[in-house]
This record gives sequence, C-alpha cells and structure tokens, in this order.
Amino acid sequence: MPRTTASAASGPIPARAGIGLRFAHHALAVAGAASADWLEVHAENYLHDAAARAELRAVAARYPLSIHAVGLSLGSAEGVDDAHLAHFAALVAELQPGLISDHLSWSRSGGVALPDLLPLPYTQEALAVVCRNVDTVQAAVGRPLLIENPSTYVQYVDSPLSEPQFLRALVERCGCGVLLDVNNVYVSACNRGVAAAALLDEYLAVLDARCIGELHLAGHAIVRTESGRTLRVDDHGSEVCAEVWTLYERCIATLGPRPTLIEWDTRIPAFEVLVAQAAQAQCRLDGLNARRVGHG
Amino acid sequence: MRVVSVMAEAPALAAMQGAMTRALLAEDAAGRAVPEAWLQGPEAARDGLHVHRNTVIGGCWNALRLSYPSLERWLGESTFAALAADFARLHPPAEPALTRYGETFGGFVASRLPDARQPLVRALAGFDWLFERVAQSAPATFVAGTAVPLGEGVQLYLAPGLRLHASAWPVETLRERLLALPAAAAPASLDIPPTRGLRHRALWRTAQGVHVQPLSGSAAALVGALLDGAPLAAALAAAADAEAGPRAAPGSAAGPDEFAARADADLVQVLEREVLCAGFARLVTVNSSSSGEIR
Repeated sequence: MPRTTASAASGPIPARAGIGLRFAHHALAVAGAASADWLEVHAENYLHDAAARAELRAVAARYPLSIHAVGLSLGSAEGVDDAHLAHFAALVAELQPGLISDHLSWSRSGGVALPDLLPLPYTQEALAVVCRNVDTVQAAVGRPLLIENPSTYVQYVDSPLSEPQFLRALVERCGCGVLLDVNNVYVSACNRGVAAAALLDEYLAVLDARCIGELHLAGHAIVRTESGRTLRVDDHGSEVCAEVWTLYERCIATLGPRPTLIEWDTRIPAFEVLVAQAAQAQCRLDGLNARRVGHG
Repeated sequence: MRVVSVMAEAPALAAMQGAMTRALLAEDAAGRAVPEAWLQGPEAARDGLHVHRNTVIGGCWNALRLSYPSLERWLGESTFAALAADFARLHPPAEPALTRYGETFGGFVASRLPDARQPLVRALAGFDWLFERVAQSAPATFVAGTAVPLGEGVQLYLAPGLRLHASAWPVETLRERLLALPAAAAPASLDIPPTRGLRHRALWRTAQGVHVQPLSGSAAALVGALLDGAPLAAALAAAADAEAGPRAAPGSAAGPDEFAARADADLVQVLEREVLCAGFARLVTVNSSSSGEIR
C-alpha cells in the first residue's frame, strides 16, 4: 500500500507482489491511489522526459520503487554508452530505488541503439564483455545490479555455457544479483523445445538462491511463423498463463518469498486487472509464508 | 530472410553484433542474411530473427507515433507504419531512450509525398514534434525559467520549456481536428491552402498540460530574442524589426535613451498584452527584504 508520508528515497522492495507502472496509470500512482505494495518503472522513460520525471518523484515518495533499465546494453562488445549511463546513474542517485536491474542482452552496436533485447552467445568472450560492462555500471551507480534472464528466439551454435552457468559466473565475478523472469524461462524453454520445469530447475540448482533478488511474471503471445513453427513471444500483453504460475510456485517453493513483479507493456489494461494479477502472485506468496509458519 | 549457407568461423562478439544489427535493419532478403554457422537451424534462425526485427521496427514505430500523433491520423495508420518502418531502417535510434527519437521524421515523410503536400506535412510534423517535446518538459516553475530584468526591482520570468513555433498553416487547429478523429478513421483530407504570412505561437507546459497561445510577429520576435538570452533592449529592437523592418543592428547594446526611442507605443502594447499578461510569463518584484513576489 502507498506510504502516506513523503521521503527522499523510495525504500526497500518488500518480498511481495508489485506492479510495473506505465504512463497509462501514472495519475493513479502520483495520487497514491494505485493499489500496489511496490512499483517498477522502465528507466529509459524518465531520462529525457522532465514531466514524467517530476511525476516519478511523486510516485517514489509514495511507493517503494524499483528501476528496471532496458537500454544499458550490458552485452555490447563496444561497451556501455557513457552518456546513457550518466543519465541512468543520475536517475538512480535521485530516486534511490530499492532495486535496479537490466537484462542479459545487447542492443547497441556501431552507434545504433536497437530497441530490443538481443541474446548473447554464452561464451567466455561474451562473459568477459558482460562482466566489464556490469562492473562499469555498478561503479557508476555505486550498488549492485540485478541481471534478468532474457526471452530467446534464436540459439547460437557456439554457446558452450548454459544460461544459468553464464549468470552464475557473472554473479561470482561482479557481485551482481539475478532477476529471474519466470515467463522468460517458460518462453525460452518452449522456443528451444525443452521442458520448462527442467530449465527452471537448472536455474535453481546452478544459481545461489541468495543472489536471486526479484522475480518477474508476465503474459506472452503464441505466434505461427511463416515456416509453420510455433513461437512464444514475450510481448507482456496478456495475463500470466497457467504454466507460468505453476513454474512460479515451484520457484518460490525453492527460493522462498521474493519481490515479484507483474509486467504488462502492450495493450495495457485497466489498473484493476494488474492488481488482480498481483493478487494472484501475492496469494501464492502468502500461502508459502503460511506453510513456512506452520512448519516452523 | 535468406540464411547464407557458408561456414563461418565463430565471429568475435563485436563483429557478430555489427552483422546482426545490419541484418535486423536490412530491407531485402540479401541484406537480412546471417551466416548459418552462427545460429542453430536455418528456419529457426530466420523465424527468431523475424521476431527481433518486428520488435526493433515496432519499437521505433511506436516512438514515432507518440511524437507525431496528428501526422499519423492524417496519413492513416498503415501508411504511417510503412513510412515509420522505412525511416527506422534508414535512421535507427542512436540512443536507448526513444523519447527524443525521430526529429527528422517529418522531413523524411514529406520527401516521400507529392511536392504539393510537402510544406503542410513539414508544418504539421514540426508542430507535433514541438508539442510533444513541450509536453515532456517540466511543468512551469517560473523562477527556474529565463529571467529578464525590467528595472526598478522587477523581473520578467518566462516559463521553462517555453518554445515558439511559426508556420503558414493553422497547424494547431489541424492537430486538434485530427486528434478528435476516431483512431481507425480513414486518412483525413487536409488539402488546405496556407494562410497569408506566418502564424506564430508560444507553447509551454503547466501541471494542467501544454498551452498554446497565438502571438503577433513582433511579440514572437521579442520572446524569441529573450529566450536566446538577449537583453530587453535588444529584444525590443528585434520586435521592432519584425513589426516594421530593421531599425538597428540586432544585439546592439542600447542605452536608456535609445531604448525609449525604440519602445514606441505599439511595442509597449505588444509587451503588455501578449507577453506581460501571458500565461507563460510572470512578473516578480524583488526587494531587499524578500526573495521575490510573483504577481
């Protein structure tokens, strides 16, 4: 629930269900009328839009806030964009969000910033690149990042490490954490033709549970390609599907409660729909807590 | 997308990312080719890259429609989308935050249209762009804006983010009409003639949103000069030039007598009616015992 008193820093993110805040629901959040335990925003929407930034200040004074970047391009061989990083660091310094994160992906090459999260080959070369970039970002903001596993639609031939292995090595070298997107695990597993539960179990086995600082949940689309294949596309445009809820239950049963975000970015519905999705996540977190108390 | 069936060495990451970027932005099949040896399964690679290509082009399109809403209504969604895709391939974003992406899109669209429609497209796109940039500016807090000493302890503050626009078309009215149309409406016909002479407007933002106020040519010259940092005397000279042609070298430092000579009755009226009383301006009295009073 929103705080009633303003503070300069947004405070820690509770291990409860939160909601991704988009412009369509800004007014609710600014007024403190958004029924959410915490909110997460995309950093890039607030770097050059002074009006939105002013509203975000008001939001941060009322709700625990997490800042999720989509454009640091941590996997770019040419490094992190200094100007973009400076803007991001200033946003973090100003709002003191409870969590900050970006993706295990690249989007920048040759002066072009592609608005997408492109996958990396999981090689030692790529690991060195990502480590260097994560170190650069963490030095600029003075705190650890959470790195999110991406949804993948292609696989590299030369990718000797698994994604969990790659993330584990990254965590060990850089001291960053992991944002585990359960929907992305499901989408990637389906697109690769492997069992989603098995992929999730690999994540949970390979990664130290203490490094997983946040979970994401979202809906995805199912598309038929020109070649007749079925692909799942992480479009954040629908409710969380039953299979992902099951994976989520499996996840928190192993990890324990974690801050869990409901993301919805396309065809954004009424805020009440997001609240209902968050309530479903919270119900599972509450059930987990009740079982833990009962067993204690 | 064609997948090149040649064996390629595992590319260094930088080279691979450069090649992938070019492939994602390429329009034709040949340009979209990515060596098969990099990705598993030719069809799977093609399908997967198609998803990424859609995301890239779709992200650019969405950013452009946010910056050019009335242009999209006028062109129609499908035409706008096609032009946005072409623009994205030729002029992809250079920075990750897309709020400033596409300043040259209006000129790009105009260049694809018949000559007769180009000036209006440029004007409409220019107004869209400016309006949306003002919408992204901080709500007016006047003491953070441009300050102009008026003498005797009085300062004129102009709203931060205040911008000026001039065109020969009634773009503000056109924009309102276009945005009132249903989103799925057929492309609107707006083949209208330009008005005689330029129409000037001031745009600024408050907590209530973006405000647009018509200005005379002399008032626009006055405000424009002040926004450029000119002292009041030089700004008045610019206003006088706009009203009746050049009277003095722009930016010349005018003394009190010269100032008085320039500030004829008409200009004083302009200053009072269109600037001092405008929503984008505030007069602040500064005295020795307080930091200021906004009147």
